[in-house]
Amino acid sequence: MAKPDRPLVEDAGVPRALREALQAARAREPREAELTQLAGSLGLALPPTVPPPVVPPATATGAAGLKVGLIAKGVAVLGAAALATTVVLKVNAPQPHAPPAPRAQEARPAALPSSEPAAVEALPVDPPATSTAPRVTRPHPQERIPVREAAPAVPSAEPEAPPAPEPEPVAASDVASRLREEALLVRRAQTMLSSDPAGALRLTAERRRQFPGGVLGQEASVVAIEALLRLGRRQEAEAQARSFEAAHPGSVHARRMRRLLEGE
Amino acid sequence: MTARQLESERPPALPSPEELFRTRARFVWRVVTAHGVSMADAQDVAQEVFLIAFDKLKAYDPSRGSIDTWLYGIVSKVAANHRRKAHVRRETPSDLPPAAGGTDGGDPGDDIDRARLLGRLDTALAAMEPAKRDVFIMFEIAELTMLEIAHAAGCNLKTAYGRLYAARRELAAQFGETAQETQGGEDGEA
Repeated sequence: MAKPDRPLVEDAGVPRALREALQAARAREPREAELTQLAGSLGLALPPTVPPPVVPPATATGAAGLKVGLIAKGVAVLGAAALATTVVLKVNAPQPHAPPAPRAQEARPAALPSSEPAAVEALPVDPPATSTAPRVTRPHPQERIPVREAAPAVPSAEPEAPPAPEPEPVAASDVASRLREEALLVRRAQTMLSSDPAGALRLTAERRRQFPGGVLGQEASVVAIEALLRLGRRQEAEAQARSFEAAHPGSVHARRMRRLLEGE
Repeated sequence: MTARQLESERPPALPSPEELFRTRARFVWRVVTAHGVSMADAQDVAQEVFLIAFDKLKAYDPSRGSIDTWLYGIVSKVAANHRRKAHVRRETPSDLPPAAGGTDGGDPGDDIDRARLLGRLDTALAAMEPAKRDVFIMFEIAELTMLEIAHAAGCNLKTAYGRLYAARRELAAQFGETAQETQGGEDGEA
């Protein structure tokens, strides 16, 4: 007989199968690698098991310690972009296996440029990145985000160029502002999907024009493909999904695209 | 009023997003999977939960409940949205993570048994009335106190207990036992 405040897992009078099921449910926890990935996808620098070190004072939001990572679902939650106001960016291509940098160094935009092409901007709408190296959607927490100083003066549908050889450091507040704007654009596109898929598609193209090398390229790709499907342009959607998957093998967004193409 | 009184009445400081993640990531994951989200999708759903939580963190009011019940509320909504998607309904609702399954040298048969039991539990919870399911998950899996749960559920303590007992009886029946074996308490929805 279960006592009111005694969990069933501790009560020998409860059916054994139920007790064991509850024990297993309580033990359903992520692996360390999954936690690290999750932290990275949230733009958090540290795995959850490591106490956060002392961080130099950042900007006014108090969300110190965050840095911009791939905000895979930042489209839906713009607050994540706001959090990035404290972020200090490093101008570089992803370095998935780079050792964690001391937190104090995050205040310095000191990363060396890399010859590797940008990682996060290779949509079906946007051409895939030139690199053939496999990429995953969620970056390592230490992954660095390619940053462009400004959108090009002339809108272009051409494939994006790799990062400039020696880009200048970008102020965190500027980057946060741009990230917020980019997220707003993608979110608007997402919101318009059901009512105006053509408009949503235009917005994804606009995002690409305004934010070449932006952080939310993959999210925008999903929106674009859904818009194409809603517009009955299945062949284009399929072609773009193939391009995306080739550029981002293993991406969780590729999985979503497949689901869109299969059923929705 | 003394300084100590002032200190005790001061609302607790809000955690930073980083601290929230560091201290609650496992909790969120556990609650996410308890809501029938497969392990394959748990990371995506947990990510969405934290993005929402980070966004709303400044608006979190400790006087209205613990951070755990607040997070639980977010998980509950995100998981419900996730379940509503058609592609999710076609998936197997439950599976066992290697970390929890003890596959490192463990008996594979044990993993299969656990996965099967989890599948039964998830199926039973999915069929349960949401108010009862929430109380049950919060108490039996998320390990929150009944006071916290009543607060989170927006009901009085008696009602919260009633839902817990009802959920226990339902699950006992699902697992092939009689209702009397778990709890004969009242089921009052005050």
